[in-house]
Amino acid sequence: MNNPGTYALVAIALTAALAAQAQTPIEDLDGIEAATLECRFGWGSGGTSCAVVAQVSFDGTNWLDVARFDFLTASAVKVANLNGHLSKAVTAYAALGSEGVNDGIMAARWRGVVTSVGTYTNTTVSLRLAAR
Amino acid sequence: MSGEVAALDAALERAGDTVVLRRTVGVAPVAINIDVEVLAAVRSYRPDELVGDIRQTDSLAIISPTPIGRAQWPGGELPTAGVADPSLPRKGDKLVVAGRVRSIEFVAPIYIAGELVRIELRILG
Repeated sequence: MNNPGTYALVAIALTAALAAQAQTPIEDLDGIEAATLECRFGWGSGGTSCAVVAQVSFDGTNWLDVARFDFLTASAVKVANLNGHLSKAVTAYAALGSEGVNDGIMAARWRGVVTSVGTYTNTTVSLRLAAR
Repeated sequence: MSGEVAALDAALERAGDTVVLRRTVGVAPVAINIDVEVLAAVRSYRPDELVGDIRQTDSLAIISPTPIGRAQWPGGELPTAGVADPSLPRKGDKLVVAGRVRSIEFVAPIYIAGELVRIELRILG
């Protein structure tokens, strides 16, 4: 693949609520075959819930959920591994619910989208992608 | 890539040191470090350059935009108003030189014909 490596899709300090806040994308990952995602939520205080979604795009305009990580009011580290060699039957795309995965969908553009409820204090969230 | 960038990359390949450019989000104990390894030419300021608030303990570091672009550092960011180019180091970022974490105080990006060809950093400590 082009440009294998580890990339930060999300690295933010959470404060006020975020409504599906898309981060700038990581691009030029043509030929990606597998992806390991690590989502790290460091909770300080406050807030209610936080969802971090990894998305891919084939055209740079339309984005598909591939993994979703959900957190409440406790620090946690969650991981997912996605495999581009999977055979998939034709299926209608659906946005992911809590802790969901759409495995096997690999595209050259990746980004993170953060949604949070409530006002967090001294709280950070990161989503890193190991692309290979 | 322009000739200027290629020449700087070649010079840093020959004589540069591997350092880590670091942006930190949040504060301990939940701080997140976003690191990228770059080659840098790091030197002390000459006596005639010690003007204004530049101190003897400060250093000048010269880095290339190439490894930053290759790594797409710092990765995804919220589209923040007022930040023209998130991939440019900024005051408050760190440079880890020979294992020592030094604060970036001033950033001087150098452009030729609109292309970023070199980044000069004043680092403290």
